[in-house]
Amino acid sequence: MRLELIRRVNVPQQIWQETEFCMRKCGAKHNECIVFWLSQQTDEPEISVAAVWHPKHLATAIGYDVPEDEIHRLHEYLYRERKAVIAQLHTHPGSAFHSPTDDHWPMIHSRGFLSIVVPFLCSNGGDRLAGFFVCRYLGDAQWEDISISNVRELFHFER
Amino acid sequence: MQQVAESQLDAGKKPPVQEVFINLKVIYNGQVFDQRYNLNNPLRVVFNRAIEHFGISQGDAQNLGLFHNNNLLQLDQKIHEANLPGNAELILRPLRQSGG
Repeated sequence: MRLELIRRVNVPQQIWQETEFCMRKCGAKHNECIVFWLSQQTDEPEISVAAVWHPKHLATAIGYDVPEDEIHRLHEYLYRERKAVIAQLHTHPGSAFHSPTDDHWPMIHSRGFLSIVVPFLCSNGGDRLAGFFVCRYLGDAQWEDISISNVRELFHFER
Repeated sequence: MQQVAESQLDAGKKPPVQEVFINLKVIYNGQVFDQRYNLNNPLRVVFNRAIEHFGISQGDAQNLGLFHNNNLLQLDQKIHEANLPGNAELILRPLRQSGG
């Protein structure tokens, strides 16, 4: 699967609800949280998020860490279920941006991999993309920021 | 008599170079890269071919490891030294996943 080919990501309502639920409940208004969006293996430019993977992780108000056995469990699952991680989403207590740790330690090191940072521990309702920081992996710990207008073209939240 | 003659003939020949191959599967983000390797090669050959196949940069390769049964494989050891079964499934994944 070539992630750099992805031009549109459909996010079913159920997927977004599950994502929000995980982030709010797990973070409990105090800690960051991380989830991964999985899709079927495909080289189509338009894909749909098929599942949310909420990993076991250690978290504080300023960071998170996924233990090695959980990283392994996810990769075994992907192989068994013929799925791929297309994006990682994590929360911030304040505004959204990419930290140096985010830059260097994504789950997937392929060009085109997406990273979404959700502000205020996902406590904001209303506009699903308001204040989000979205970027795309270029390789060698370099990321390309995606403008809000391009984010709105890239993600389609099904209602 | 004929047997003696044949073994004398064999004795004069160099033994054939032992080249034994193994099939290994490298799994990355749910995809499989299936290839045959000489057991005398170091595991770094498997790692490098997978990195190239999956289009991962050399810089990013430093953050990844090759795992079998969740054990990190030492890339400098020869494939036969790792005692991998044929068609072993090796997972290529990050050594760490963190954010902040």
